[in-house]
Amino acid sequence: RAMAERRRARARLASFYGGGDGAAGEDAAAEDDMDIDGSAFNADRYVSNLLQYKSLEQIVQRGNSMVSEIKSLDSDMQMLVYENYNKFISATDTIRAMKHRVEDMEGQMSQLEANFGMITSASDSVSSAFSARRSQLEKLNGVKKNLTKLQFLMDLPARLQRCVDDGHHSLAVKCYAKARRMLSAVGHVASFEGIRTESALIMRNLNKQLTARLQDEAHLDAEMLGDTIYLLLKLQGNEESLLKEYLSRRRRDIHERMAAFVSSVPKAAEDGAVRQGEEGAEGDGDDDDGDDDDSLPPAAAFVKQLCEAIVPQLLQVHSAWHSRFMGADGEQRDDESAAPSAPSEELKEQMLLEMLSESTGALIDVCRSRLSEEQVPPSELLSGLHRLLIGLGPLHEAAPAAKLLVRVAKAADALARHAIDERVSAMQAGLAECVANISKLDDDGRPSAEELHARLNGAIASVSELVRHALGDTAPLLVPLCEMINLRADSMAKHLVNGMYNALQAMARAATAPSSSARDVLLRAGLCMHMAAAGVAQVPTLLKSQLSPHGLGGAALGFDGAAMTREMGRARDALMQSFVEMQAQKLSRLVSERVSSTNWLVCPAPRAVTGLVQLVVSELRQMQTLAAQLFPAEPVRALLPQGPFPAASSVMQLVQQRTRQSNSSSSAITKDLQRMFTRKISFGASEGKATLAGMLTHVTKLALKTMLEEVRVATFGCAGFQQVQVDCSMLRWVLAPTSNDEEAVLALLDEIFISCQDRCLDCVPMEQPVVEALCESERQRLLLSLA
Amino acid sequence: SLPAMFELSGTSSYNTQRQSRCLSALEGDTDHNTFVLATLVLRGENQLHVIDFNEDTNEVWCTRVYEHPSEVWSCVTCPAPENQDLVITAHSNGSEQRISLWRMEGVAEREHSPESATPLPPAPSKMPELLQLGVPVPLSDTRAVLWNTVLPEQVTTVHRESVRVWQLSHGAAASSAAESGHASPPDDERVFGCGRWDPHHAHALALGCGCGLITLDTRTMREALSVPSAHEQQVRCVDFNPNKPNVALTSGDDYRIKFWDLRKPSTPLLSEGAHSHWVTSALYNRFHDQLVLSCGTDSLVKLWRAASVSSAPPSLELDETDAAEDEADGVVKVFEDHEQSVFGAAWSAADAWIFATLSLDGLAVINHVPPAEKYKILL
Repeated sequence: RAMAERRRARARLASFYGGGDGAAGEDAAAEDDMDIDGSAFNADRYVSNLLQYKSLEQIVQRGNSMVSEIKSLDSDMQMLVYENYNKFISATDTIRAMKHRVEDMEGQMSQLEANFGMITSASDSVSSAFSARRSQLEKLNGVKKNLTKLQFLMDLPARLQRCVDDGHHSLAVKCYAKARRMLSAVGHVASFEGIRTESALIMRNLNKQLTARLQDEAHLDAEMLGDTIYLLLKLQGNEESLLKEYLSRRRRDIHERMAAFVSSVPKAAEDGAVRQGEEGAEGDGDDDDGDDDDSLPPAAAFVKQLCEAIVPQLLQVHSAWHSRFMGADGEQRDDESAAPSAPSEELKEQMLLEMLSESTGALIDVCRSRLSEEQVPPSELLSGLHRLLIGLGPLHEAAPAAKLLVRVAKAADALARHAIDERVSAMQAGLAECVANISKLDDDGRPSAEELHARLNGAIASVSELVRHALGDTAPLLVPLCEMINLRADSMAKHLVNGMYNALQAMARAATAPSSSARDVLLRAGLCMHMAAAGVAQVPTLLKSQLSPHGLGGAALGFDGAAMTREMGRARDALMQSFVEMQAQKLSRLVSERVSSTNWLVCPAPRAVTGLVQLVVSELRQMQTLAAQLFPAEPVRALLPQGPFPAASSVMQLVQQRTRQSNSSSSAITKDLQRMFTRKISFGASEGKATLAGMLTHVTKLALKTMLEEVRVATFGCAGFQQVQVDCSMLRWVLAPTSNDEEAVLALLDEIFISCQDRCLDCVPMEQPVVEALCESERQRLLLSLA
Repeated sequence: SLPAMFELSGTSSYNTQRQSRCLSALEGDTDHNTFVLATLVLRGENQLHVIDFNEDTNEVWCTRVYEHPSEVWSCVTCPAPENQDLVITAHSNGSEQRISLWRMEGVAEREHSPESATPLPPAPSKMPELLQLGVPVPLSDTRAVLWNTVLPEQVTTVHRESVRVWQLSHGAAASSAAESGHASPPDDERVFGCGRWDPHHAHALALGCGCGLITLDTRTMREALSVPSAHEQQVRCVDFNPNKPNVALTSGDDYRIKFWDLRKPSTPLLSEGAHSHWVTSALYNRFHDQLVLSCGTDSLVKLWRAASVSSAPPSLELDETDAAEDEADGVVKVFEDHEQSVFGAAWSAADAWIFATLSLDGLAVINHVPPAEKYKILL
């Protein structure tokens, strides 16, 4: 309703002002012809539309409302007419009053005219009376002026001398400058020549004196130096070289102050309370000044104090330069014969800016080197940079052209990157240490399974802690810092993310560094396994939770978690493989030593399973315990004889049969056996996911293969052969069921058996029940040893 | 079954039909691709088989068979062309081991091309035993017999706990041998395992000793250089780079082959996990030291490229990544012809690109360096 009201009013105004303004016209054009208030209203269409689309009830309703609208329009119109009539009446009253007052004014005006006429005539008579003397007065006045000048000139040498003597150098120079113009005007008169030379002499002396002061005293204070240079300039000194001299002196002075300040402040390392002010620094981004230096962290306090010491000096240079050597001063100079060497205004401005930016640069460098010291934590760095900004603020306002804040920003950017790098490299070092220390034991003993588990978990926890810590540490360097100096925080965040990625990559590399301890390799594999499974995935999550609230989530996406997972997976696989290889080699070496050091020709008839079997079983069991840490979900298959004693393999049966039949053609037997049973066994690392059973099987196979090759170079007597028969049967009982590749293990054991009978001079296999009895007693022993 | 097989794949093989460990090129004949195989049968007949390979027709056939009294654990042929029919074997009969010098009579007169397409091996002939080196030793005491390629009158026998140098002289009537030097392992813990004469220094001998490698100056019989822990486990084979002095190649029971600069014993120049079990042999090609042959008990034979540690000049096209990748060190080809552990391997004495390998089941396979690799080296 309010809308309709407003629209109506606007339409009314539009019709009053002719409806000519563009906006209204366009509005009207834009309005559709169904708008009853619009200028384009089409009554026929409206009605037909109503009839077409509305129900009778609605049409009646619309009709009623239209009637009431028409009534209200009528009353509006009446109101308007009434208001206009009122205005007309008051206008009539006003016109009547005006007419009455104008009639009174006419008399007063004519009186005023008469008065002015009288004043004119009086003034004329006074002026004619004075005109005779005026020219005389003017002449007198001129004479007096000349006399004063003369007097001034006459007194000039004395006055100059006095001024010089009293030390009012500037006054002397001012007088001389004034006099010189006069003297040059009257220079042709001989008597003035004397004055001129005399005063010139004085001034030359003064010049000498000032120059001497400039040269002799290396440490004039700023004011004095400014004065001296200013006066020397007035005395027609070479402007460019003098100005350069001024700037270089001031610069030197500032540098000396800085050096003095730096050497007077004790190094942060000696400062016991380096981190004391850290908490104070956290919230101090908002309040500007006035807080004690004590509450600031040391590096920030350093920056603040340094700024307080140096910036006023720079400001002084700036203001002195502008007041003395530039601007109005230059104009005065124009009417003198401007020295051809005089530098232009722009050049002078340029010189000043150069000096300022050079000195500020030095200041920033000092702050930068202080802030990049190792002990400066990021929050302190932030606060220090804040101080630097505050400190340089006034100078920036004075000379924005020097782009000081840009330099600060650059320095801050570099500092922040450096600090991030430092944090990240600290994290990297921590990760490397974590990897290196993973299996370092306090005592030399074999750690229990729980201990290993705890160690692995400890390493995992400390890795994630390191990452979290590094992220938390660098937080102040991202958004707060970047907001402070108007930097793009996402590039900084990207830098951090890249650093994290590289650090983790370095960790994977460190993990795969060679190690001589199988336990070490295994735990590293465990660490990498965890990283690949869960740890790496945490990093982008952490990054996201850290960065997203500040709108830097995009940078967090820069962390290629998939690639890192792959990398960790590769490291894990390499370590697993290395672990298996180490275990296999260790066991192989033991087997090899054992078999090759036995004289199989003369050994006694078998009475028990030999230590070889015990060795293999116990080594495998140890490895199983160790490696089970990595596969908590996988059930551990006990390395014990499972089920009943297995029947003799077909190879054994065949050998027993054939040897009973004939003992002569044993070579032929071998060939038959080999042809029938030899099977090519793959020793390559198993593909796919590493499992405990897979690793164990791999080691078992390699150990049996070593045993086979060692048997092939030995020569056996009857007893030796029987001993191998017993040992193989036992190994078959224990190893085959626990193995993943039972077939290969059985084939290897068969092959050992075949090779052994081949290398046997007098081959008489043992009867199966005897073998079983020996194996059974070994089983009892194994069970006992486990209990 | 046919003793010789002709296959389209370019692989030619021969089977001794007996367990065999020893394979040696006929070193004295540099015109023909001839190899000598020795069988290892504890309770049965043993033989030496001389086989010839024709690289044009890819045919391999047996030209001579000699009877041998007992199983052969080591077999070397004389490198001097005038005495190419001499062979030394270390053999054992189940109770003791002997080292004998034999003359393979008629080797020089053998037919170099087969008369028929499928020749049968000739009937075994006897070969005279010229002399025995030393007295009989315990079983598996002799680890290697090495003929000095520079001074062919010098022979070394490597035993578990000693190494002996012998001077041979061949008179018109008989040969004789005199022991000229003798040395023991540097410490009691380790035993000798293998050895190789240095082709660059006539009096230098490299010996695998336990896990380590030492070189011996045979004039003084003193240790010269030493690589204390060359491998994690026993060193099984050592070979010298034919072109680069002081560079050697070792292989061991730790599945690895390693390249060494003997003057820098702390770290190998290159180390490769070559096989999945013992690496029984690793040999430089006789002419192109960037090519290395290895074989192992995993029944695989591998040909390696080790250009970075060879005398070959570095490739000039390193800026092309494809080329660099193509020429990186690594396996050139894996040969999977064998079914059993491979113990014997030798490059042909006549042709730079031909080699033979022998597995325990008696299968000898003769192979070529793949032409692509050959041209990469030559061009």
